[in-house]
Amino acid sequence: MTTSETRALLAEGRALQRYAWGGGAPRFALRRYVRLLGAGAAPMAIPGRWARVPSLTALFEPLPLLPRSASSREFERRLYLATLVTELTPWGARRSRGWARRGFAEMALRAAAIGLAETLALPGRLVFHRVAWWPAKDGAR
Amino acid sequence: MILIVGSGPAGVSAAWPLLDAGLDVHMIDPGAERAGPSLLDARSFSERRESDDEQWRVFLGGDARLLENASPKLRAPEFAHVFRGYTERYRIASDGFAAHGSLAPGGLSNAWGSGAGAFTDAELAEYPVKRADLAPSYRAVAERIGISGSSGDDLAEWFGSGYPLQAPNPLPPPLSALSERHDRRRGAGAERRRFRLGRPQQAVLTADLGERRACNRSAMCIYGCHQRSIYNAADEIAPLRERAGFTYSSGWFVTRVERAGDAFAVHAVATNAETARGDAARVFTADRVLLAAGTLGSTKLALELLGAFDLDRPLLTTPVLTFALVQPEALFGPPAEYGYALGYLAFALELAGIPGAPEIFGGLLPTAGMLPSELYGRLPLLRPFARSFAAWLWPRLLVSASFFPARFSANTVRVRAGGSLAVKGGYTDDLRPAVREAVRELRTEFRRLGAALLPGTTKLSRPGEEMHYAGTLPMRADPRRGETDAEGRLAGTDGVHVVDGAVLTSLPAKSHTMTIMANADRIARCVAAKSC
Repeated sequence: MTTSETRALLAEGRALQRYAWGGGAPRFALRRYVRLLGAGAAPMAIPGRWARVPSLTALFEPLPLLPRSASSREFERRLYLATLVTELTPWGARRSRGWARRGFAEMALRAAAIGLAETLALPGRLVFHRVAWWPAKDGAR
Repeated sequence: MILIVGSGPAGVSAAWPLLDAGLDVHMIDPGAERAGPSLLDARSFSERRESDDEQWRVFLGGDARLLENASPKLRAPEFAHVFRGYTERYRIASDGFAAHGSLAPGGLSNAWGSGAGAFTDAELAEYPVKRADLAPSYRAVAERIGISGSSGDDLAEWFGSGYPLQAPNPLPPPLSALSERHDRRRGAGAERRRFRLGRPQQAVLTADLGERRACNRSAMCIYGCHQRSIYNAADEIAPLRERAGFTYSSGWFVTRVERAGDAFAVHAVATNAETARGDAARVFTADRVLLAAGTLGSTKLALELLGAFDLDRPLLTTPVLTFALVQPEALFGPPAEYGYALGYLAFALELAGIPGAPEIFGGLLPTAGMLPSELYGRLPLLRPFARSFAAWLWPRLLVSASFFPARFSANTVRVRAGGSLAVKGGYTDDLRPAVREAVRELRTEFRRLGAALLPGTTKLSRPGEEMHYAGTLPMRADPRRGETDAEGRLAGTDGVHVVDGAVLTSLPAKSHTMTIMANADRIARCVAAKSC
């Protein structure tokens, strides 16, 4: 991957972060963003008010499950990049610090709840993986 | 006139005694500089993290290399220029070996982990010199660069003495508890024990020295020290240039050295726009040449000078085992506040169950100053869950990098007739049993001190990843082809001395950079005294 390609990925990651976490609970918003992308919307074309998901039901709507391709290494890399980019923001730092200051029992309870929610939302997560692998659209630059 | 090829720790350490003796010194290096201004400023790690919208520039950068599975220092954007272009310039073809080097002023010390310490006579057993020969040079180096460490704990004698030490950074509570438990156990047992724990010796200032400032505990050590508390040989180039008799030519990459009558011709090509405006290639001549281009670079130049294209040379490295530790008491409270990221404690362990009872050496680093994302990929959990769990666990961990002596490395290096350098990496068959033994012993020792080695976090590095390269042109009392004498003089030449890691005869687990510097200082004193 060339430097310019990486820069494009960074730009995409930051666009994702900006749109996904413009408001509302970030994890839910991220899934909403992914669904819009899955419907064919270019990242920059997504309006800003979509971020807050109206109900929990919407989170677990069935989503098209895309198969992993032979380029899974590349999409893993892209996903890792997106993860890093989201971590590398003041919001990401505050979130990490918040987790760091939780007690052991609270961490265990919350982690179990997240684990359950994430498992239930697995289709959406896979779509996110898949979408993240798609080449960046012009609008994302 | 004496020409020094390279401006890393060995090159600058050789320059000072020569200048002190009134000799003319000409230092040349490729001068690879960073593309833009430094990314560092006075902000601490946590200030950056919590208020900087553009923090990805200093922690991640825009270079694809930064996504690779390598040590954080190797990925830090501030140091990108330090490693860039080295393997291409030296035409290094690696097979199972992570070859790194630097074309930047200051060489690899730009990104040094700062581990210091002097070799003991036992560790110098295969060398043609003894600790007493190196003692004045260890002192000179320590006075020049500033070493912090303890002179009274369990590791003080192991690291070495006879040179000044600044006080180490204060030990935060969770680690002081670990240290106190060890001291109690040490006090209780009269017999010689195989596990030692104490403060490391590090080339990190805790008191101002010249233009360099004391560590301010900003926890930015991994990504670059704005205070310049961590030693970097590049910081010595400016004071060297103020000395009479010193000439510095930056922007020249040495391609070969050859004899020219009574002198030596050093051929170089321009590496940057400034030098390339004039001659694209240049020949420097000198009566004596000191090779300090880094182990791989110096080996290539030396073997080409000898025409030794058929010679496989051993390349010593120190295999690294990484693992994570957790103190159970740390799990139930808020995470400790650390302001330093290069290792508060160190340990040495003798592996009694392995033939020869080799000794390993490791440091204990807090995770302050490193992103929790370092842990994401290592957790066998769904990614979002892993992210939250890692954010919680990460600041409660200690990370260790433990070095094994080079007797477990089985790398070779050879210069091909076309000028490329073939490096083949490997470990000896007895490394795996030694690693298993080390993990078993460390688990026991740390459990006694109230810390648990986290299962699944042990990882053995690829050959060469730790960048501790040495021993390709070893010093011998009776050197043969491809070796050097006690003064680093390349056998078969009269006037070419190798002063960097290439001449180390053997490599213990202990950090070797201070010994490289002391040895360069010793050889330069010898050259200056015309006794060699």
